[in-house]
Amino acid sequence: MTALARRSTASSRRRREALEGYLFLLPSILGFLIFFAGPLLLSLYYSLTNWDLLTPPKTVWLQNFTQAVKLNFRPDAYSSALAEGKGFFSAFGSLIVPNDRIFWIALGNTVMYAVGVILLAIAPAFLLAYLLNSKLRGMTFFRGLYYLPVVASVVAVSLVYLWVFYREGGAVNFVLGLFVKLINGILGTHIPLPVIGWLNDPTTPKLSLFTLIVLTAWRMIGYDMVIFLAALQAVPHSLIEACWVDGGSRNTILRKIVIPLVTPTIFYVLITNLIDVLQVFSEPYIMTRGGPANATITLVYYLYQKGFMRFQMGYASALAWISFALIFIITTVQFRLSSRWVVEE
Amino acid sequence: MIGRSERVPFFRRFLLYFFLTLVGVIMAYPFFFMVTTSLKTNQDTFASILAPFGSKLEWGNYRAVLSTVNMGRYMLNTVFVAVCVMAGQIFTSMMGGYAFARFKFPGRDAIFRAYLGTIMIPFMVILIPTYKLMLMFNWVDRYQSLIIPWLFTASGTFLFRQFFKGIPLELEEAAIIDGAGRFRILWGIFAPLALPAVATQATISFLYAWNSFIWPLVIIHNRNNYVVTQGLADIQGGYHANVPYIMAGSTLAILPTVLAFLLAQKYFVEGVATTGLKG
Repeated sequence: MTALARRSTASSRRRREALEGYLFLLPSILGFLIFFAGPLLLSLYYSLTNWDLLTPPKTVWLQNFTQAVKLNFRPDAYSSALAEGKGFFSAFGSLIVPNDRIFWIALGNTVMYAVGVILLAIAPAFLLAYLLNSKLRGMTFFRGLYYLPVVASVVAVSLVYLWVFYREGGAVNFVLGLFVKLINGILGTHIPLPVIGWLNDPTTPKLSLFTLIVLTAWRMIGYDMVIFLAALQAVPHSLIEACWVDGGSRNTILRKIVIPLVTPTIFYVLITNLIDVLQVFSEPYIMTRGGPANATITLVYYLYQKGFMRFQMGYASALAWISFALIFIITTVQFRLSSRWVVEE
Repeated sequence: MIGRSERVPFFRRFLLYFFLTLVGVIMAYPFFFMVTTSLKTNQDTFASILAPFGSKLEWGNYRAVLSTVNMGRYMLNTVFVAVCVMAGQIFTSMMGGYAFARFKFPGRDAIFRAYLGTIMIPFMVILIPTYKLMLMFNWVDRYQSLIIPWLFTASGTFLFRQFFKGIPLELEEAAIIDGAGRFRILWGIFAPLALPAVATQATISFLYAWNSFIWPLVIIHNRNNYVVTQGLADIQGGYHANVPYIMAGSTLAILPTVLAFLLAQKYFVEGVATTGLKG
């Protein structure tokens, strides 16, 4: 065989391999193009239009974005508020008036939601994983138990929570009532029985958000815990033994060996939780309908309202991209900051 | 707590179990409340909210939810959709994973990076255009809309790629010398070896399809085509005052995934743990 012929069979084999490769990739790449990449580009286009789904979209360029984000300055309203006797700072509310008030509320709620869930889920999940990472009996049982909320339908669990936290006679208030009765009985005090509107009391809007955060953290802990557990089990035993032999305490092992080795995992959990929580929808939809007075409205819930209840598809698309930008910015910042505390292998 | 069990003194061990049980109660209580309340009468519910049992076991709640509310139908619909999504996702991601793991073709790495990038992009960004696509295909209110758009999965493709990369090359070369085509190699040799990955992906797909809510809410309006989560929202709306009905519905919605989890705990946990470690 001449060199030329050999080269041509080699290149035809390579071409054949490439062709086969594309063929195997075809089912998934079709899905990717039609149901992901295509919609992604379309979404960007829609966000630049006014569109009610029935008539063709009208291009308005960045108007949707500016409508959502715009803050109106009202110096006149500010001075009149001052004149009415409001304080220098408390009158700021009338100086800066958001064009779309609910957008800013939803944004604030979503950020608080994310921060709250991350604070309530990651540290407890790590603690649980650390405790479960022993060879004692029953650890698999507890791991399975803690993981149950992860597999359970969020909608179903939200319905259960609705009644566990119900204002009149729900389980949580009932148990609190038992404690109060006990205290009253022992001390002879007359503390009234608590009737706490955990979810829907208009006088305590922040409490409603907090209750939703607790539920979401509750179902996130098992997920985070399993990831931490896998990371802890991957910590080389020889390192720990060596430190143990050198007389290191449990505490030093944890601080000097275990935690540095799992920092990449902590980072991963942080990012995935963040992406997850910034998209929360089912909990407010089922439990509060975004209320009381928009106290629990999230960005996705607002998007759903705008898009599928008021059919402002262009505006809703813009909201989606703003949320994505938020996730993107936070993740990028996290990546930058991560070099300071994540230990590379 | 890393160390050997014999090193853990009794008191410490007692504290550990006490704490773990306490956390367990918090994790399990909503489920306990759900199941026990689903078997009470409505009057008993608030008369004794903490009691595990009412005056009698009211199985009629389940009968009512399955027939009157039509939850049985919704469950069948969801099983159908979930099984299709499961099979479809395994098929596409196995094929794709094999292509990424074993073939050289122009643009492979760029495509792979694009796939991974999709994990970062929230679903709501493509929600509206996908809805528009469904309108164009005339798939609104049809099962296709719950199945076909979800057959592409980046994480599944990633999972199989990683798994296939771990299979020794010799195995494949021997088969090629024997004259086996790539397709036969994938389904005859790789697929049986990849059963653990298949099981892992199956759990992920099933959970995803069974529990999804916002997409069915948007795309399915005909009650006959409802999925379980929609049925639940429906009970909540229609039988607002009947807590045992709502709890019976929730139990029915949670039972299949919890049962699947109890049977295949290893694979559920493995999927999460491995993607976490490699992520």
